[in-house]
Amino acid sequence: MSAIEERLMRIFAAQEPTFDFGEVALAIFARQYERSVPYRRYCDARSKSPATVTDWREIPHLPVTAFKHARIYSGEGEPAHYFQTSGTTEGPELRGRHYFERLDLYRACSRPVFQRFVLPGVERLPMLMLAQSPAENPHSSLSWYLSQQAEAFATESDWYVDSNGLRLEALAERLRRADGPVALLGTAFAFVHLVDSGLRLQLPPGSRVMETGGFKGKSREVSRDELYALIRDALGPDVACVNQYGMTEMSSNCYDQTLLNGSPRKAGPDWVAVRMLDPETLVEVPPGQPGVVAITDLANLYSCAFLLTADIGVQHADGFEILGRAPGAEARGCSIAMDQFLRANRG
Amino acid sequence: MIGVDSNVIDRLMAAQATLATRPVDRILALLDRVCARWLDHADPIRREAEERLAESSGLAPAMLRRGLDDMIRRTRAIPALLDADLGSRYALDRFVERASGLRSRAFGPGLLTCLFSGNVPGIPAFDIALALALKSACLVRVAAAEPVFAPLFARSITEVDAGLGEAVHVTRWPYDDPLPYQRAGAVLAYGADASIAAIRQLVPPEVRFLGHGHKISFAVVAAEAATEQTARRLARDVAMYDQQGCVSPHMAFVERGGPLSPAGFAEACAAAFAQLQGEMPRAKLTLEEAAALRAARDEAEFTADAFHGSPGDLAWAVIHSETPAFLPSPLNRLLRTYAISSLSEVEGLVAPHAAYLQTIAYAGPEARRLALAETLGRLGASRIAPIGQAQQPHPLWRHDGAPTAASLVRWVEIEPEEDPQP
Repeated sequence: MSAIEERLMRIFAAQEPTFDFGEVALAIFARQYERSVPYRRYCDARSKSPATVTDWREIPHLPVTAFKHARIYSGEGEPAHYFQTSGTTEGPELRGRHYFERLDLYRACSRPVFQRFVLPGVERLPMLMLAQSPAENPHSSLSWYLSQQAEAFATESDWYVDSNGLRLEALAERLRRADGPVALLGTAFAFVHLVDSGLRLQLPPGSRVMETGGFKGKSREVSRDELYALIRDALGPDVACVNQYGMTEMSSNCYDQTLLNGSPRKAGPDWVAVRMLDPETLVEVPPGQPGVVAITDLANLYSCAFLLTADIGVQHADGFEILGRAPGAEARGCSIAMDQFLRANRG
Repeated sequence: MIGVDSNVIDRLMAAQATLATRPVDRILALLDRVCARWLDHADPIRREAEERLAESSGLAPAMLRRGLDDMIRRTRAIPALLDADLGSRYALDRFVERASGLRSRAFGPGLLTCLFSGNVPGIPAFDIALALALKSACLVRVAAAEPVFAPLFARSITEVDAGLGEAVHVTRWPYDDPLPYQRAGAVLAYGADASIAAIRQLVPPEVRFLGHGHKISFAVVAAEAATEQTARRLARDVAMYDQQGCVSPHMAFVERGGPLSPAGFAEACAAAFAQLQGEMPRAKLTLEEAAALRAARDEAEFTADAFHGSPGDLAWAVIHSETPAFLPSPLNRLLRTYAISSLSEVEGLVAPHAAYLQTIAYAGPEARRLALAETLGRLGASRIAPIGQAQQPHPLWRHDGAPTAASLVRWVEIEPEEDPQP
């Protein structure tokens, strides 16, 4: 392991609680600028380089769309693995790939965060995955991620989505015989299927749901509040719901702090910085004002740690809030803007 | 000024009854005086409009000045439009002779109800004046985004002639209030396809409905005209109203083999945009607009053959591709340029989107203009305009292919008595 990998492992293990975020960010920037040609080109076009950037907040954020069009890799040698975006937002043809030189860093950064936000107050519990297994979908980062948590924290686990969709009967049967708290983990859309099935039962107190992802390209969209109400209707009033904010292009994840301290606002680990930028100038907007979500995820050592998403969010004193995917502008009159045109042609 | 009740419409109809008795030339003379006021940049109402529009729309003052002049000049040409569209403007006064002994008289809609969109200030001038020229009252619903111009234009009419002014009422109403449509002779609406469809549903079947929905305009540059001058003219067409007009070009198909290569032409457009930014800077964007532009630019940086964008902000961008496609712009001064090997390629590229076609801004030799007009006209384009003039539709242009004044009138004909058979 290189020095930077060893340092990140210590940070993930909370062995360096007062590490200097900016210093590590600048070191990773220097490394990724040198190793990733597409990222270097992107930075050069903005006249930013490790020679000129002294404040980590000035490091250019690479738009996540780059992962679809270029190989964003700054590891040593060939990558051991890659994860692929699901392609639901842009159609099936173009998928982004996130390459990893090795997976142990990814594993090490995921577990403490999951434990902190999803499992406070419990050691281990049964995990019911509303997602495909890694065997079935080896390039899904969610499947891999869930399998890592199951290995670390599950008393038992099973996968309830296969290529035919949600295995509803098996899931209902397992839920009915739950005699202690269980965790249901998976995609938001799988939970929509679950609540649409008409299932009604009462899970034991301490049971929890962690859902992630959006609904774009799916047959039905519901708001998060609506989904959580429907989940409580289906699984009982004692079920706590937590949203995970993450994406294939990230290694770390952020979560609602509902289970941790009751706040529905999101937070992430110390090695992740989430900032909202004015889309016009890419200057950070003050708390309370919406902006484009820019993420610095120091765990993204092998790709690019500095990401610009297409999401709109707001920073608050107690965490951040995701307002959703930028909806796509509409023209003010009888011209038609690109997004309207694409929607009309899709519909 | 919210809502419409039947008293408003009663008053409009009473004013229209008087208007119907006035000679068309008298009405046109009054409208000409209104236009003259608006073309006088020192006129207080014109100055108020410029100031308030700059404030409310965010559009650059230089752009607003030029745009208002264009709109008023088009309005001032209504007499010629009536003669062209109706054969003679005097058909609005009396029966006029037509071919084969037929005599014809035209009646305006009585009440023209107009719903305007907020993208291009100044548009209402033309339609309000046209209604009055057709001796009809005009009930106007302004867009939430542009409530400034139409009331000022109505006020200028009242100041010139109180009776004429009484035939115009500017307000806003919930679009689904049926009253403004029920007593209209015709309803004219600009806006998104969904809005047009929703309004069409509310208009009684016997009332004429003219809807101007979604349109996409683009430019075609023949090799001969691929020059810096054409690029400068095109950049102006795109920058005007920050590309929000239905005549604003989204993309340019540039033929290879000219003085500038298509990539060189894209670069020249970028230089022209940069220069325009000083003269007429782009308006402030909403978060959604900025995010859409940002996303389109991000995508282009990794996919386009060449990308030129304003540094440090989203003021303008040119995205060049050597492989032609048909992808509209997110607007706000983002131009896509596509290289083509021959103008004949354009037909195949745009054919799947025929329903959206409107203005084709063209630069190149006359003979090739005709061929292009023939093919694209057949597909659905309604206007072939020189690049540099996309934003100044000819007053006699049949907007979206339908005659402007003729679509609003109703005719009555007196047929000649044939020689009695023995």
